[in-house]
Amino acid sequence: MKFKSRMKVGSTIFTGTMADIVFLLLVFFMATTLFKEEGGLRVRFPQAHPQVMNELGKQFLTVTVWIKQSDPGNDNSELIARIGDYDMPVEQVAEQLSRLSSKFWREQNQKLDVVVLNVDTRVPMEDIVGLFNDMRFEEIYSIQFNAEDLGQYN
Amino acid sequence: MRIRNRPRASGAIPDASMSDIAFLLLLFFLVTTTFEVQKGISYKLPKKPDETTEEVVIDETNRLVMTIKQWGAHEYVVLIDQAPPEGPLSRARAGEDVSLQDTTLQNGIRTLAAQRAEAIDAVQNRLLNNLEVAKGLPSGTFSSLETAIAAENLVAMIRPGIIRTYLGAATPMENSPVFGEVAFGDTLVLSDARQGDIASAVRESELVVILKFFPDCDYEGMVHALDVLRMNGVSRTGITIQQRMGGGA
Repeated sequence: MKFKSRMKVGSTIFTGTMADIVFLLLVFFMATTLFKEEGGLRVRFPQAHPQVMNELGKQFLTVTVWIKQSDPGNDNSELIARIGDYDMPVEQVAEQLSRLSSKFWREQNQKLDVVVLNVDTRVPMEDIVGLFNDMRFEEIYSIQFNAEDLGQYN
Repeated sequence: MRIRNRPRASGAIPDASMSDIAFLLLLFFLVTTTFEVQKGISYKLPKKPDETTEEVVIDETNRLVMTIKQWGAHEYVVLIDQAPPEGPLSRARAGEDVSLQDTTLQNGIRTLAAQRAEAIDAVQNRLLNNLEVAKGLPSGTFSSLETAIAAENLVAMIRPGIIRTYLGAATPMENSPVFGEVAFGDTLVLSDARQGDIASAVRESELVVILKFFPDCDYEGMVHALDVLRMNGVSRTGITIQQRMGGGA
């Protein structure tokens, strides 16, 4: 009498659907990924030599401030400042930074390391020095002036 | 006789290599995608004046005061108000403005800065302090830089600064038992194999440049001026406008 061999369990993993899974994952992430956008103002950045500029590492806790004139180039026009999604007069920037700094300390036990300034090139220095004084009053001292790599003036 | 069927063209698109293509695309985008990084000039404002801070008077031998005004779009001119005595630059009279890009001005600033390069001990002390802050240790934990390097198993190295390129053989050098020959403008770095760079300090100049801006001068002028100063070895600057005092570092 001939015995029928028992069914054997295969040791290979079925990979036929691998391509479908990869595509599905790809499509899923393409559809759902949201890039964090800086809700900043459209500003014209100043230029500087790449050798003197530094990048802020991810370990730094930063707040970005955007400043521009409502009518760029017109020194009599109002200045607009933006932190996150909120617009405010430039006179309130330092106070707002101080509030954020306290909030970071209270909620995350972290200190605000650097205030990143994205300022339009045409903003008058009188307002910038005023902002520096306000920041000093609120004991915020570390700044980074963001700039583009020097191109046209070298 | 059996007649063989003619081979028929299949209507299916071969999709066996689809997964390879998907992986290749995924790898390509993973490797080539770069995210925009923000770069800029870092700056420290001075502490606010109160009863605990002492007013610092900058010695006139280390002080250069320049008034900056705008002269058309993207053009800024400098008038030297005060300069260290017997140096390459001297006080200018009204109307003797020079462009911020003027080579003689920049060479003069660089020479003044190089003549006031910090002593290596001061840089090493700052580096030790930066290391203690980075490690979250109380000030004075290590008696010396050598002790700290041995205790934390760190590697000491020099990152050459841009001033070496300008000054060449004239770059002021000083010998350090830890780092060897350190030039003015070089960065001293302490790193470890796991975390990379831990702390750094630049061999700076003790020259302080006060920039007095006309109130209507554009913000661009300030960034240009800081850029010119940093390129020429000046890291200690004060920023003010003519009517009222402002920040500095």
